[in-house]
Amino acid sequence: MATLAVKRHGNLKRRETLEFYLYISPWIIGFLVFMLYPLLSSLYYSFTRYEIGGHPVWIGLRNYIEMFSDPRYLNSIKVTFIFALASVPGLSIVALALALILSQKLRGINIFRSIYFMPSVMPMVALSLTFFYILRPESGPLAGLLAIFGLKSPGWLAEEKTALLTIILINMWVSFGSQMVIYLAGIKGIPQELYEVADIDGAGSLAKFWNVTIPMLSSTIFLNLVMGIIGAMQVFDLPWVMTKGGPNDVTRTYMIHLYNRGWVEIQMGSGSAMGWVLFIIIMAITLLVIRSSQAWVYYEGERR
Amino acid sequence: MNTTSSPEQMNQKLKARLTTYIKSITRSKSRMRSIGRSGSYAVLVILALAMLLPLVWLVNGSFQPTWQINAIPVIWIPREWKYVMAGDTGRKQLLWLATDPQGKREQVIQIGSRRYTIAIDIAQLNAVQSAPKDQISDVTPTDVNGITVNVRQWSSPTGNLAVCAVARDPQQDNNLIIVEVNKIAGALSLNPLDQINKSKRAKVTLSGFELDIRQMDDGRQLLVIGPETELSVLASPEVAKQAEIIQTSRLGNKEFQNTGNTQIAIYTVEGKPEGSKWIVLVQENWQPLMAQDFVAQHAFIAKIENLSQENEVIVFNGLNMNVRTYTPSDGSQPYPVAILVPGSTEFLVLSTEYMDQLYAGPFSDLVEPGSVNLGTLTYRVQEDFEKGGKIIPSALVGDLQDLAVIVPATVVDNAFDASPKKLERSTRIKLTLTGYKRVLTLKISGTPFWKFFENSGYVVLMNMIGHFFSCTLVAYGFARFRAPGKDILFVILLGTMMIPGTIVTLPTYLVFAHLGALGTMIPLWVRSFFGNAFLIFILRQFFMSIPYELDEAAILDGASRMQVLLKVILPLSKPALATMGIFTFWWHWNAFLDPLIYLNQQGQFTITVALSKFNDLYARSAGYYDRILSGAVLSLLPMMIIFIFAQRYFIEGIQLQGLKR
Repeated sequence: MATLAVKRHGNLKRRETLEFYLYISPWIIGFLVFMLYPLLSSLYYSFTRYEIGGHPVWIGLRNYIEMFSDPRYLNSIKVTFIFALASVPGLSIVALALALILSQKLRGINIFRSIYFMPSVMPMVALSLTFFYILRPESGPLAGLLAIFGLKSPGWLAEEKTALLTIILINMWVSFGSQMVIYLAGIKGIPQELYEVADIDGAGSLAKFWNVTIPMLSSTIFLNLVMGIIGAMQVFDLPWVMTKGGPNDVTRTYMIHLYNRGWVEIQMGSGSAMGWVLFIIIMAITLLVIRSSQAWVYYEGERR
Repeated sequence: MNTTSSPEQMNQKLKARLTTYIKSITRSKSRMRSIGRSGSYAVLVILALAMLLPLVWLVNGSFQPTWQINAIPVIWIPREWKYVMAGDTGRKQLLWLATDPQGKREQVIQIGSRRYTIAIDIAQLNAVQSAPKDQISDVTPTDVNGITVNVRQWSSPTGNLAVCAVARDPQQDNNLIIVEVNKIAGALSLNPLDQINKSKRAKVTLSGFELDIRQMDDGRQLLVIGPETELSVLASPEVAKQAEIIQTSRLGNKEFQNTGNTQIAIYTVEGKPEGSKWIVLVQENWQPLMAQDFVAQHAFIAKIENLSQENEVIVFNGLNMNVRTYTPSDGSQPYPVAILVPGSTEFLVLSTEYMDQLYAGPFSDLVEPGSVNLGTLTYRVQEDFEKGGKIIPSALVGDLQDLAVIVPATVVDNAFDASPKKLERSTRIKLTLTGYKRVLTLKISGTPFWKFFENSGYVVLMNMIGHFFSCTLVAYGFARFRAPGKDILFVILLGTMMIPGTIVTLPTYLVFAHLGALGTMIPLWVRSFFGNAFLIFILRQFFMSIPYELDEAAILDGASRMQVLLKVILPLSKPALATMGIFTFWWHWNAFLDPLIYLNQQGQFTITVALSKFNDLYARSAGYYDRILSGAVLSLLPMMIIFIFAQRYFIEGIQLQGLKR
């Protein structure tokens, strides 16, 4: 009897295991076919010369060596880093500042929140087009506005000096809303008692901001930074629609370069190598931020 | 005298002072707060404007005709340029606002233009002089007594002088003959170029220089100094009412007639009553047209061998058409046919008995007609042609015709001319839907634009089905089963969320290349049938919040695990499913990189890719801006609607994404 019960129990357990794997099998297949295999195979391809339709030919480190001696590739890394360094901290500061204003108990806050957040859900292509026309240096509405004040419109996207900066600003316009919404959730999560205690201690609003709000938000700030960097390193739609990487490559980001290498020049081997380098760069930056975060991020329940 | 106060009084005084002190503090504090509050509002409002203006500009522009989209400064309310129809001709005459010679502002149409040049009356000129070119600056157009003259600065030995150059010095090559501007102010006049050209040339000697002048009919002797300007000849809109259309070859003698402050050219017209005079409102190319339905019904393709060699030009409804004789192959009676569309071996023809259906439209009104293929022939169709207030898709048949819109000279009694710069469009507030109509009927290499919306919709729908199927199953598995390896798998699932999507783009592309799925739309949705880590995570969290007792009760009632999922869990998970649907819509409607790399046939493009390609093609041609802006608005519209009604889900989803760590 006892052995039968155990056996039946064992059967049930085995049955549940089987059922579990059956239920999650779509994800397992997807993970293997569309994540693990592509990643590993592209690691292999990155050491080959491979054009679609042909066979990969092993060439060792040639792709990597050629890549790092290609000034256009190095330029795309530079452009992407400038883009990330200029937009990520700026975005975080603006988004945090607005979240703080919005977290006050003011009337009509929800409307403002919606307005700021709205562009984040719109198709980037349509928004890029809008700015493309607004910024026409000769006949665009912004040029017209500047002309009222007697100013001459800069070339915005058409000029080497201003093109990247313009794209950085538009990117901020589009995406600060979603960061702000995350900060809002973070601020809401700060226990009100902390402020009450600070009040009793006689802390001013600045002191409260530095000693309560910022530490309590540090994990959210950290997360926004990581996500911002990951996003910035992969930026494609915006510069592609507006400038195709021009003028003279000043907005040719990493992904635009990779797209050209892979799908225009159809060099899948060197495209794979670029993909892996980007992967490593992103992982390295993320790890670096995580490492440094231990010094400044405060996690609740953590003992110091 | 009561100089000292009792302790009670002291106490009361102190109290009063204290309360005013406290009051003043709280007042200043609340003042501070209200300053802070209005400061906050100021920041919020300014930023909200910065966020909204580009979108408002986009939507506003999508309801404007192209001339308005390009207007500076921006016109913030869409307007329509008013026009009158020129009789029954189908020609629109645009209305302008201009100031007539009596100083009255009125609505006018332009009935021509007249060139003028600036001249000096020699009788009022005392002296000229010669000066070296290198002492004379370039020209600056300057207003002198209401006439714009090209003025130069002469650094003369006696100081700077404003001068006008009137001729080259015939004796010294490097010198110009000049006059001082302040000495000619009263002698300047604006003269019609045609009258100047008609007048006799003469020579006059002044200050020892021989000058070329014009001897005018009225006795004046004019020294022409330029520059030439073109003024618009304007008349009351009433003039257009009696317009009719004729072939330009019927225009006869031209002469000038004075009217108002100007002259207009009047013509005799062949076939019109003797002595009648006509004014040409506009002369341009017209395209013979025929309703497409009518063409499709009655026209037919004739082989070249069935048509006569000789070609006769016959006028139908005032339009020249080529006519040949058609001999049917079945031996029946030959009859005359009009050539609608010529070809190399086959012609599209129509029996002449139907030719009363022919009409014409100004060629400038026909904007990119679409094309229709008919065997070896191709003919063009203007889908949105407007005739008598109705939209009639019209086939372009025959050759362009040179036609003139004319009105009897007698109706023009008070024309005047004015500088085009002083004309203002006469407009009224109206949403123009042309951009939308045009973008929806637009074809890019044969693919109608709405097809791109359909493609995007299809991709979104397939992804929704895929996610609904896969994510619920997987999330249910992770939420409700106990099995070895589950925790590790869940960590891996969370880990894949950290892998940036674009990294696997190229490798995944290669996988689809091996599977032979390139050139199809499958790669854009098939992955959804294998789950999405973020959506699985959201669903799992939600499923776990549903009490397990509900499952147990159902199982005790004999339900299987699948039935529990379908009958118990899913009905309770509507908010999570809504979040999933909205995120799927969001990602795939807006997706750009994936459709860009996987789709290589125009017919499969999603709206984002199509818009971007469309922009690449037409960003330099201002005539297309209305379509580009309307297309962009249409692509935003679904997201806008979802955002308005389901903003909460977006925000909660984003916050979950942000707080998942």
